[in-house]
Amino acid sequence: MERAVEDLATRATDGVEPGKVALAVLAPGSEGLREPLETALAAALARREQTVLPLRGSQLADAEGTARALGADLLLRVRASLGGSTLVLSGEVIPTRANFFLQRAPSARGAGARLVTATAPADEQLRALTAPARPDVGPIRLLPLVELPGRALAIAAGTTENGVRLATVTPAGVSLLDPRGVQLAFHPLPPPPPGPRVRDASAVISIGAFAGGRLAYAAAGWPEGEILSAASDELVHAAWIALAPASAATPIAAGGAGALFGGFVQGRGVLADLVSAFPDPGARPVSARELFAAAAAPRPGRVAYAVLGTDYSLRLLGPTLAPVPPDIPAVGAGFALADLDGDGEPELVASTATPGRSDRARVVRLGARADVAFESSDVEGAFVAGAAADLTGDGLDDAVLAAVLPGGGTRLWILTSDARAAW
Amino acid sequence: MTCCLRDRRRGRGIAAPWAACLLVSLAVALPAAARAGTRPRYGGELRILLPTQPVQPDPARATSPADLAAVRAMHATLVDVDEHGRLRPGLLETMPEPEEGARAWRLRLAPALRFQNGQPVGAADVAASLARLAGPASIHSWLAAPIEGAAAVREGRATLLAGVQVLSDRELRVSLSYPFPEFARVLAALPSAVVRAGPGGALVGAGPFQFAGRTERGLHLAPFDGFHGGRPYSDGLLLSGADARGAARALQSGAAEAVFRPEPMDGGGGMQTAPMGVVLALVSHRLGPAGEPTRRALAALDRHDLTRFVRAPVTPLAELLPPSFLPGSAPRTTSRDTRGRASKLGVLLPEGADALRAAAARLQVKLHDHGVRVALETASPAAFASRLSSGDFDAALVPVWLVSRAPALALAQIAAAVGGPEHGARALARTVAADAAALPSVAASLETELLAVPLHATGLRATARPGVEGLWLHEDGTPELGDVWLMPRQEGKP
Repeated sequence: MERAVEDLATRATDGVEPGKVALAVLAPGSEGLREPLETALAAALARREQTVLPLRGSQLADAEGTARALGADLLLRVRASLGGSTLVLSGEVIPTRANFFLQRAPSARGAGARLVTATAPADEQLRALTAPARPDVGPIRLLPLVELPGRALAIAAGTTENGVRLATVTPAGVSLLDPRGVQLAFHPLPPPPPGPRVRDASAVISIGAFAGGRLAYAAAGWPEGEILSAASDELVHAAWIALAPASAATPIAAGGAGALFGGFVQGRGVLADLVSAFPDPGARPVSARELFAAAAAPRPGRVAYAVLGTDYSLRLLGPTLAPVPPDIPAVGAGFALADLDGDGEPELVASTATPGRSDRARVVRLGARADVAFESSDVEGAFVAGAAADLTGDGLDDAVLAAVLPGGGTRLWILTSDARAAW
Repeated sequence: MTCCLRDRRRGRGIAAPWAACLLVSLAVALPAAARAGTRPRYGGELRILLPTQPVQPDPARATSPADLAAVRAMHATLVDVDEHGRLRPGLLETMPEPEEGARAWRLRLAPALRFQNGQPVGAADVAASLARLAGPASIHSWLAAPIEGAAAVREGRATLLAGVQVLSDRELRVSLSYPFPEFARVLAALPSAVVRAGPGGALVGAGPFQFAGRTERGLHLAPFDGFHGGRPYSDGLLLSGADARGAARALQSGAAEAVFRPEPMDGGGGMQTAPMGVVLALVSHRLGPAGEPTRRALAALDRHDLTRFVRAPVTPLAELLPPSFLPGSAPRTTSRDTRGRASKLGVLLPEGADALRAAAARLQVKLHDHGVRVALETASPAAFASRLSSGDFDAALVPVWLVSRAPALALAQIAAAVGGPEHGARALARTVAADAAALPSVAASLETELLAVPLHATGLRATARPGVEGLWLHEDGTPELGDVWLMPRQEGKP
C-alpha cells in the first residue's frame, strides 16, 4: 500500500506549491481500509510540505464546500478499491482556493481539476484491512438462489469483466449467471463423440484459468474442452483445449492462488490423482486414487486448494500444492473453499457423503482440529458441486452449492455470512 | 396389510398401505431414491446371490430369473427400457422408424459399437442375432415370429430371415408378416439381444460385463470398457445361486452385496420386481374327456387360499396375466360343472422352486377337499420340459418368467411355454391383431385352448446390504448391475 500512496501523493502534488490540502478518503465496501489509508496519505502529503486537513463523517457529503469553508487550496478526494489482487487508488485533485472570478458563484468549481491514479499489488495485510471487521460478520445462512433445468455437473464462480459471475455445466451446455442466478447466456455442448459414453456424466468448469474473465470447461468423454469468452455477458467460443486422458491438460479449478490443472480418467467421470499449477500434458497420475473434483479458494491462506477423492476424503493443498494435513473425511461432492468470516483463512463448505434424497451443508474451520461452525437443516436433493466468490459484494466470500433434485433439475443455494443478503 | 420400505439414509421405516406398496413395486420406482445422493464411485466387486446358479446366459435360451439376470449383465439390446418404463435407443442410434404402417421397421445402429471381443457390432450381426432368435434351438423363437420368414427359420428350412435386409454396415430393414406397432418392445426384450458366436460357439455380447470365468463360486464377470452405456462402476461381478438361509447369512456377514430371492431378508433396503413369474396349472390332453372337467375343478379353487404359504411377493391370478399387465377381465361363460373330473391326479412340477412347492402342497390339500387325490411329482428342469412337450403328465404346475411387460408379448410367451413355439407364434399374431380392450378375451380363449388355469404370479425381492447404491430393476425384473456402486466400507463394519 505504501508504494501506491507515495505514487498518488507525488502525482497529486506535482506542480502544486506548498499549501493547505483537504483530504477526503472513501473506501466503499472496504471500510477497514479508509483510516490507515488516510493516515498514510496525510503523512505522504506532509512530506511534500502540504498542510493536510482530513475530512471525515458528514464533511464527506459536501467535501468541496467543506474544503472551501476551511480555506483549503486543494481538495484531494481519493477512492480506494480492491480489484482482484490489485489495490486501485483513484484521486481527484480539485482546486478550492477562493477565486476572484467565481466570487459570485461560490459553489462553482474552478479550472484545473485533474485525475490521478495509482495501483499496487494487494498483499495479505491489505486484504485483511479491506475485509469488514469481524464483529460485522453476520450468522452463516444457507439460502435458495435459483432453480435451473437439467442436472448440474459442475459450477464455478469468479470475476469477469462485468463483475462476479456464476457458470454451470449441464449435459446440455454451459450457462452464465449473475450473482443472483439470473441466466445471462447459454452455450450448448458440442455433440457427444461416437463410442461408449461415460456412465457418470461429469464436467469441470473454472473462471479465470485462461486469462481474466474467461471460462474453461471440459466434460468427461469429450475429446476437447473449450475456452469461452464471457465479455459483454455473452458466451463466445475462444479456443479448444485438447484433452489427453489422465494428463494435466484440463483446468479443474481457479482461485486466488491461480488455476489448477488435472485430467479425467479414460472412460470415467472422475479425475486422475494429478494436479498441476500449469497445463502439463506430459504429467502422469501419482497414484491410482481417483478424484471427484477440486476446489480453489478465492482468497487463499494456508489452504489454497482442495481435492476430493472418491473415498470422500478431502485433501487440502497450500498455494504451492503441498498437502496441508490432516485430510478431512466424509466430504460430499458439493464442496468449496470460502473465507466466510474474513479471517484470511478459507473455510470448507461441504455437503454430506451419504446418499439420499436430502442433503446438508456444513462449514468446517480448517485447522489442526476441524471444527464444524455451521450445519444446515436438510435440503431437498443432493449437493453435487460447489464454488466460491464474493457474490453479495460485502467483501467476504460466499459459497454456492448445486443440489440436484430427485425429480430432475438443479437448485442453487448460496451460503453466506452477509447479514444483508436476502434471496 | 402393510409393507415396509426402508428409508436407507435416515434408517426410518415407512409404513404404507399394501396397495400403495404394490404400485411402487409395479412401477419398479425405487431407482430415483437409490440413485439420488452423492456422486457414484468406481471400484469393488459385486457379489450377487440369485435364486439359482446362472447356467444359461444365452439370450435365446435363458428362462429363469437367474439366467436372465446373467443375460442382462452380459448382453445389450437394440432398444432399452429405462427405469421409468420408457423405451429409448439401446444399441440403436435412434428409435426404430416404422414404414408401411408398421409392417416394416428401419433400424440404424449407433456408431462405433463394439462386442466384448473388440469386434465392431454391425447390421449383419443384428440380422444374424434375429435369425438365431428365430431358430429351432431358441426357446424364445415366438418373439421373432412376426418377422417374414420366421417360420422357415424356426422349422430349420432356412438359416436367415427373409424379412431382414441389411442396407449398410449400420442400417437394416425388418419386414413383418403383419403390422406390429409395438415391434420396438420385441427389440427391447432380453432374448433379442445382439450376440456374435465366437470360437467353439461361445457367445460374445455387447453388454456391460463380459465373461471372466466360472468357478464353484459362480459366474465371474469383468466390466466391459466399451459398453455403449459406459463402463460399469464395479471392477467385477460374481453371480451365484443361494438358498434362503445361505443368502440371509451371506448378506448379514457382508459376503454378498445383494440378494435376489423371493423371501424377505432382514436388514438393508428392499425393493421387489413386478409379478413376472406367472404360475399356471396345466391339464394334459391325455386325460381325454376328464381334461376339461379337471381344468374346471382347478379353476374353481380359491387362488388366495392356494398362495397362503408362498413367501414370495404374490398376486393371485384370475386371468392369464396379472391385473397390472392386463387391466380388465373377459366375461366368463365357462361351466362350473366338474362332473367327470379325474379322481386321481399326478401333478408334475420342476425342482428347485420353493414358492411353487408351497403352492402345490396347498393345491394338493384343496383338491383333496373336492374329492381329487393328488400325487406331487418333481422333475429336473430338463426332464420337466421334456415331459411337458411330450404330454407325459396328468397335470403340471408351469412357471413362466415373463421377459416383457407388453401384454401381447407376455400372452404369446405363455402360449409358447405351454403349447410350444408354433402356438406362441400363432398367439402373438392374435394378440398383436387384437386391440387393448379385446386382449382379455384373447387371454381367456388361450386358457381354454391350452387347458391352463392361471394360479398366481410371483416376483422377487431385491435386498442390498448397506452401502450398496444405485441398484434398480428393469421392468422385466432383472437388476441393472452396471449402475451399482459401493460406498467405502467403514472400519469394523462388514
